[in-house]
Amino acid sequence: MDLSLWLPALVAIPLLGGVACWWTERLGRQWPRWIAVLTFSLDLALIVILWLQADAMPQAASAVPQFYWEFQREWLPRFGISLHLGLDGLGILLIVLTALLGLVAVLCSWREITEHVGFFHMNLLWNLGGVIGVFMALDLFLFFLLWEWMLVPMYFLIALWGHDSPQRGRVYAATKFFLFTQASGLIMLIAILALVWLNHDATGVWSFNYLVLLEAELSQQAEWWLMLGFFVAFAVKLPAIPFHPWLPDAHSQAPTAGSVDLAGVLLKTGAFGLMRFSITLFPEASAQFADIAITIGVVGIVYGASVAIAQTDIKRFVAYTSISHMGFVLVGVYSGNLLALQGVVVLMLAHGLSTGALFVLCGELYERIHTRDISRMGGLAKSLPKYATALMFFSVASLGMPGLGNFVGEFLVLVGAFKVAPVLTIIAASGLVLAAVYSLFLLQKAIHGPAGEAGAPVEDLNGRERFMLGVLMLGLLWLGLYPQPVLDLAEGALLPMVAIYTGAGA
Amino acid sequence: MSLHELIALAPLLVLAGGAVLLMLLISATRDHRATAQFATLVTILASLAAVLAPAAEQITPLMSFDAYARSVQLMVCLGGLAVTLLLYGYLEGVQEPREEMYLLLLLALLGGAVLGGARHAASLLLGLEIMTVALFGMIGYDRSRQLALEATLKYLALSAASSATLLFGLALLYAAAGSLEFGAMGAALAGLPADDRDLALAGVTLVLAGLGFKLSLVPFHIWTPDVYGGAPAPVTALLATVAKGAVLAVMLRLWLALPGELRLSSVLSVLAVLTILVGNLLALLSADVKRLLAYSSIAHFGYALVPVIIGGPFATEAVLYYLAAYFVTTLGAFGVVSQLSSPLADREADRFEDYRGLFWRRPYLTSIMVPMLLSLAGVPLTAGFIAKFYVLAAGVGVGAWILTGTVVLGSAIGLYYYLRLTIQMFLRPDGGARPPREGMISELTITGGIALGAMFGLVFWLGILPQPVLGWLQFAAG
Repeated sequence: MDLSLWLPALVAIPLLGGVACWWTERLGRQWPRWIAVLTFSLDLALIVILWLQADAMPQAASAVPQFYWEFQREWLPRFGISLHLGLDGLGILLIVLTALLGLVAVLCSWREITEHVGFFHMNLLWNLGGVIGVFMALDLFLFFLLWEWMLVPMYFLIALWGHDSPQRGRVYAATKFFLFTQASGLIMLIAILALVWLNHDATGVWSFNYLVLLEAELSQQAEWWLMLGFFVAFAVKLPAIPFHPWLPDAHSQAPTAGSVDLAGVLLKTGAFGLMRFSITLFPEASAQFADIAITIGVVGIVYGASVAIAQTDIKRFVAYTSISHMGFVLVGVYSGNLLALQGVVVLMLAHGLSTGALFVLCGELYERIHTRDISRMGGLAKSLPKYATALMFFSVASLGMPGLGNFVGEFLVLVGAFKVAPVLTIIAASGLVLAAVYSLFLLQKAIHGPAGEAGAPVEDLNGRERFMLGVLMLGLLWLGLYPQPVLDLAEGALLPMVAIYTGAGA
Repeated sequence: MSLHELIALAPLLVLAGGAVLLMLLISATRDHRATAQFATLVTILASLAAVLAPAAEQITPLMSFDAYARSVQLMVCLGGLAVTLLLYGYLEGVQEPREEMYLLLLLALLGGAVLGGARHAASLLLGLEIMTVALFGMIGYDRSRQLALEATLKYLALSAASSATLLFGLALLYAAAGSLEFGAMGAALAGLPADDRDLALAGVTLVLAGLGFKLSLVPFHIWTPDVYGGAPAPVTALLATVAKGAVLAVMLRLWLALPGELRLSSVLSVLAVLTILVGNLLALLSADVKRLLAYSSIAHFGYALVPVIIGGPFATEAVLYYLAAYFVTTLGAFGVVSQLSSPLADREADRFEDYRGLFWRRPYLTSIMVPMLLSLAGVPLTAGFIAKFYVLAAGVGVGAWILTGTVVLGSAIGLYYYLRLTIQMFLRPDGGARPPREGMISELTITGGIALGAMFGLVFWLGILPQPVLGWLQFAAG
């Protein structure tokens, strides 16, 4: 059987599932939920099978990106645009994460979402379908299309099912999110078009094919500007300072599933874009830009962590810790050696699991005590022992406790970065200290002490919640204790990136 | 005149003949469905078929029927078809005689089709005047409505002024070049010594001002929101698409014929930047849906102007695609507005609260409106995205960074107000309860449903699988 046909199927299944959710809403509220569960399970099953197949396919070391499977069909020959998807180790890992968190997002909305259930799940499925496509797109037009495609459903998720906080409405947050990402996306579109024109002027051929454009000859100045165009779009999504203002609002006003989806998966598309496109298409400019990018990353680490300490809204708190963790990702990507990039991959996966879980926990808590204000919480360890244990576990994971995935990721990033920028790395490492401060601060406020103003909830985690949190815990333990399979799988995809990047910097 | 040339002229002859025939039919028997709607549809379809027939390239010095002209005429006819279908449901509510509206519509389409093929100052003016005069009648068709009358007067006065400006400009060009045919005029002007260009320069400037009124470019846009807001919604759809699109088509033909120094690139660039920014900012501030769409249509012609400034074969392709996408999207959007409006109510569905919670009451209509708004915003998988892609590609290709940057900035602003309107349709109406859903039949009149369904399909077809269209346009621009 031709496994390359599975690549478009991975995108098509959520899209069709989404339509099915919408249509079956009239049969009852449970229908869309179960269809969404089935859809993500099916995608998860497919991608795991592909992973096992890929493990059996040795890849020769190469300086050109290699893909286990490629799917290519002509689409708009007028501009040399094709439906071109390719799956490498990096893509497999991120799609596994996407499908898994998709499942979590459906499960955590089971009780929270009671209105327009079908339309909600359609948006969720379409959003993640687009994300899965982004992780495979090898045609820059298709990539941009899917990049923008993710936004509309996300906008609806936040604007229609989000929370209104006293200061900021959900529509405000959704619009801010959309404007930031769309405007930066258009800048990337201009960079893509300029790249394609330059290639067209040089060769006389229209092509949006990533593998063709890798070979494009660019002047130093052109490369520099194009790199910046791509960087802005990815930095907004990541988000890097100073492109982050959309994130705290979007995360805190979104429904739980939206936050899980944003923090767990959508932010990763920014990091993925930097690795796949920015540093390989424009290696020389990226190498020159590395110092600035690493500095931005370090500022983000310290800034995100410091601001997190001052938050009273638990979702804004988690949102700022995300900014801090994504700073490590930026540092790792621009360190450009294999160690740092492997760290980035592990960190992306671990951050997706741990932050996803933290947002789930925020949502569960809100269902029980109807507040997100940390200062009104307290004594949860007594009233909700299982919940408190879970919160403890994921907070500790997020602060980088050895034995859990985040530690492996951050450690590898710091080791890799130290070779490139020792001083900045030392400052970055202080982010780990701040992480311990903010995590323990949260735990102390929420779990210990007397019951808070918000009262003591009675219902501890139920079976559904224990199941999804348990799966995420296992994932983090696996990444923390035995990350070798993940590192091996990613290595095949990362080696060519390292080769292109360091080849240019030398 | 040979048979071959007659076939080429057939689209115009059919439209003109159809108008006469309709007039005779109306005088014999007034019947909205049979005489008016049916006869109009048949006429437009016949004209459409004639457009598609292979034909002679050029007939008399006045008209050209090349692939470019036929593309424009195709759009004009398809636009007319959609407006006819939308008019039917709308006019059912009008108490006065309804049939003359179709007569005027056919005349407006005839004017648009002439403009599409015009390659001579005389045919330009002829087409423009046929179209504009018919539009006066259409805008003020419902004489009981004060806003419509005000809109007609505004349009009448400003059209007359702009036609006079245009005429004067053409006269100056004639004085300078000694020819009224675009090609010969351009060649003569190119041959002029640099010192003798002043007359021609004044002429081109006046022509630009005259056309600018019709295209509602800033600062000639003042009339647009009032006229669009006052006219009946289906007529607004016609005004925003056929009336502007045909003018842009003829302007591009004239501009490409002129020598480079006389194309006023810098003036046009300033106009485009102003049009994009002012149109979008005013739309942002507008709290009325028809005026919002009017301002957005101003901004869109700012985008469409970008390839005109840049020139070259790619520009023709970009303008034609932009027009196609814009036609479909705008007809869809104003079509939804006209489905929601009725001449019996004391105003049309133009306030934001008319749209609040629309999705839960009329899901089909909303499912059509949302892709239209997203397409206007240029979101991928819709026609509007490929259109914007063309404009940006044209801008990037020649390194026109200020224009390209303005397009991006304008799109970002535009996104904000399109989203604001979109989300209105999903929010609950004030009071909280979910309103009851209406049945599909009561949501859409049948003819309107056909038109909107076609626009819905076209928006996605042009956005997802436009290769056949792109191939044709590449040939038409060739």
